[in-house]
Amino acid sequence: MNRRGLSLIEMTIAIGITAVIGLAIASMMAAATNSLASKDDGRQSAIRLATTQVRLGAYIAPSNCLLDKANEMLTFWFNDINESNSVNIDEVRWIQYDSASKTLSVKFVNFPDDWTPQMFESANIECNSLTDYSQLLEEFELNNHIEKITLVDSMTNCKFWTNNINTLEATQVSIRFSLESVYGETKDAIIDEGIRLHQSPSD
Amino acid sequence: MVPKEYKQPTKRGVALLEAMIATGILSYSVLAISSAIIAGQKQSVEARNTIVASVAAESLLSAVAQEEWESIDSWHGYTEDIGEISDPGGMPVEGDWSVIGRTVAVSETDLFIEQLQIFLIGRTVTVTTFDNTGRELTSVHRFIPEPQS
Repeated sequence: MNRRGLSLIEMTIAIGITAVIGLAIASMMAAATNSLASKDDGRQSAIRLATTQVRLGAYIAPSNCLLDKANEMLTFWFNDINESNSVNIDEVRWIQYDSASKTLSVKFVNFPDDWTPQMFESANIECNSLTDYSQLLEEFELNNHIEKITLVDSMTNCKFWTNNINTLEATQVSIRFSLESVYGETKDAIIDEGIRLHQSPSD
Repeated sequence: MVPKEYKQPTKRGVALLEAMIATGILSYSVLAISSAIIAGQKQSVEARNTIVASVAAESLLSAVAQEEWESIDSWHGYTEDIGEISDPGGMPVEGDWSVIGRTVAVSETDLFIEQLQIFLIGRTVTVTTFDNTGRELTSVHRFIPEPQS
């Protein structure tokens, strides 16, 4: 065998071709990674959507009825633990969207554990058709008797509908919202949830 | 001093066959990696669509279940085609929801609960979601007993 090795020009061409192929593969990988990350972000948003449905359903479906609907708040008579067929303040759940913190949370009254039954009885007021639930919430918040649980965060907008103008008779709630993600804001999603066993208070 | 014998270089260059084999291996590797990435992406999109479709189906099922017993039947055959899902204000829901359609089927069902030894008459509501090729994405069912059953 007397064949020669690679000349300088051959080596240069080989290195050039390798560099072009290498760059092409690297850019392809970068595009693929970016696309994967974007799709993963989309999937996370979808999972958050499903989580939102489950969390909202956990409060809406078992509620007795809707007491009040405001632009960014729904007030539910969650249960009748006092078995009075009327709404006591400890049976109320407020589902509130806060556009400043971009969170959807549920709020409820939580009296101090060291209270006597008499103190509890006097504070656990009975509501009626004239009760202003938004004002009531503000008052209890001022007294630090409100517990707040965040249901969803990074929610960029939220709008509520009911299937009846008379909120006490409404049996279904629709919520349209969009979520914030790493790759920007998702398009809106809509969740419908029904009150399974509707029951209005006696007054 | 014996002069050093000039030795002809014996190392040869890359033959055409070798170059072709190398190119083939490289192409095969790139193709394999690309197809794996594409398959992963498809799976990711599929998973995302399935989740959104499940939520969409559950939402509609929830709306149908709120209907009076007498009028539940009227939902049978109700269909929202691709891009027709809208909010109660009539505004279409875009994004992932615009590539999903929903259809409702209501069927008469008799259910016997063995543990309780009771027989229930009712209707099963089925909400099916589909994509723009008509392929079924998800299907959810709920049995709604007749009130006096």
